[in-house]
Amino acid sequence: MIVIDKLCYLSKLRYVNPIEKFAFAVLTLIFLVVSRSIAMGVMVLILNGYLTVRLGGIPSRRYVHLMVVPLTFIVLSILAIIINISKVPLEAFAIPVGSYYITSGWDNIMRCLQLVVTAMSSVSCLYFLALNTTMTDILGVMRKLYCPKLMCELMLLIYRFIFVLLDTAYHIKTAQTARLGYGTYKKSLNDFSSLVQTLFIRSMKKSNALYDSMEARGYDGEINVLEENYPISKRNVLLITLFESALLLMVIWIKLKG
Amino acid sequence: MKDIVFKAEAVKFSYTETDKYALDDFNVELERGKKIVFMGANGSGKSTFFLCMNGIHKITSGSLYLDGNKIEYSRKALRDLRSKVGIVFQDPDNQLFSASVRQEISFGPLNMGMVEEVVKEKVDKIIEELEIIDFAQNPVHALSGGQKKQVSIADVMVMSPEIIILDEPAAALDPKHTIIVNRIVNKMVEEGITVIISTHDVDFAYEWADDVVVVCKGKVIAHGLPEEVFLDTDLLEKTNLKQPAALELFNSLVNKGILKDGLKAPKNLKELEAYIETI
Repeated sequence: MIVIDKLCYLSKLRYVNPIEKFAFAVLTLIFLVVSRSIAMGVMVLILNGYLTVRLGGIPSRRYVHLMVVPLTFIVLSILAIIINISKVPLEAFAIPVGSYYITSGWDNIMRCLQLVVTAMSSVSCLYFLALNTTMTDILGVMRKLYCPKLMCELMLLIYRFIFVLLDTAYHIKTAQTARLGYGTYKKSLNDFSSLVQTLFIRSMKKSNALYDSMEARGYDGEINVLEENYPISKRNVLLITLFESALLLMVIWIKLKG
Repeated sequence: MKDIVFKAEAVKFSYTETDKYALDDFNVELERGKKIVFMGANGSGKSTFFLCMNGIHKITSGSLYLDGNKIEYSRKALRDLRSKVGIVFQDPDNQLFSASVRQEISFGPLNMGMVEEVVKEKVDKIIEELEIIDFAQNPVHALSGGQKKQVSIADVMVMSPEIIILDEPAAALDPKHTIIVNRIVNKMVEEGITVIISTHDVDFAYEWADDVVVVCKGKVIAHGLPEEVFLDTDLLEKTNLKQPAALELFNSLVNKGILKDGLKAPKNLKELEAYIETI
C-alpha cells in the first residue's frame, strides 16, 4: 500500500484530471464485470498496462510485481473449480487415483480462464486509478459525486494518520529493539503487546492534540478544504467517451448474442 | 500610553476542575507589535496559557481581554477570537491533518468564512512567501520535520491574525530550518503582528525579544526587558534558567576590570567581540 502511495505521486499522469481517470477506470470495470468477455479483458489488460507503465512511467517490474499479488490468490481459488474428483473421466484431462479420477472438462477450464481474465483486468483498472491518482484527488472526486461528507472526512483523516501511526510504531519498535527487545519468541509476543498498548495510548493523545489544533483554526464540525482544480482535456474526454462507447456496444452485442 | 493587544487578569484555570490549578492568578499585559518570549520550565503553564488565549481552554475565573474587549465564549465570538490569535503547535504531526499541503493551509481561512477565490489567492501567496513552493505538491507524510514546520506556520499565517503564538518553534529543527523559521518570524514582525514564542533557548530570547515573560507554577513571576530579566540572578536561579552566554561573559570581563564599567550590555557574542577588539 505504501509502495502504491509513493508511486502515484511520481506518476506522469498525476496531474491529469482525476475525474477523467476515475470515469475511465470505473466504467471500464463495470463493463468488464457485466460482459465477462475474455477478448475485452485481454484488451483492457494490455491497454491499462500501456497507460500505467508507458504513459504513467511506473516501472514495469513494479507493475508486474503488483499484478502478481492478486494473481496468486485467483489461481489458488481457481484450482478448486478446475479440479473435480469423479469416477467418470472428463474430456480435458483425467489423472487416475485408485478407482477415482482427478479430472476436468473443457467448459470448466474455459470458465476459469474467463474468471482469471475478468478478475485480472478489473484489478488492472483499479491499479490504473491507484497508481496514477493521489488519494487527495480521489477524495475530491468522491466529494463531487456527493459521497457522504462524514465518509470523506474520515477517509481524509485516516489517510493522513495511517502514516503517523506507522511512523510512531516504527519508532517504538526501534526503541524496543535497541534495548534488546524481540529476543526470543515469548519476548516478542510480550514486546509486541506493549507496542500495541503504547500505540493506542499515543493515538488517544494525538487525537486530542489534533482536535485542539483544529479548533484553534476555527474548526466547528466540518472539514472544509480547497479543491485542487485540474484542467479538463478535451482530447482525453473524447478518447474516453469513444472507448467506453465501444465497450458498451461490445457488451450489448455479447449480451444479445448470448 | 501602551497599546495593549492582550491582557490576562487574575486568570485561573484547572484541567481537573479541582483546586489544582494549571494557571493560578496569571496576570500579564502584552503590547501590540512586540516580540515576546515566554520562558519557564516544562509544565509551568506556558502552553496552557496559549490554549486559553485562543479559547481552546475556557478559563475558570478571571478575565482575558483582546484589544480591550473581554473574551466571550459564544460560538461567534470564539470564531472571531481564533481568527485573531493563531497558534503554531510544537509538534506539526499534531496539527497537519490533510495529506495535501494546499488543502491543509486552506482549512483556517475557509473556516473563517472567506470566499474560495480569496482563499485560493491567499494560499498561493503564502506558499510562495514561506518558501514552501518547492514541496507544495508533495504529500505531507513525505515532508521532513522542518518542512512540516514551515507548513504548520503557513497554516496560521494565512489567517492573518493579530497575534501569532509559536510553541517552541525551534524544537527538533536543523540549523537550516531554524534560519528559515527565524526569517519567517521576522517577516511576521515586519507585518506588525505580535509574535509570541515560547523557548528554552536563553541566548535566542536575550537577543531577539523585546519583552520576556517568565512563567513559574502557573504564575507570571517576571515580565520585562531581556536585559532586566537576565540580570536578575535570583530569578534565574529560581527558574533554573542560565544567563545568556554573551551577558555572563561580559559581566565577568567587567568584574575583572578588563572591560570598562558602564558599557551597554552586548546582545550577542558578536557585539561582545567588538568590545574586546577595542581593548
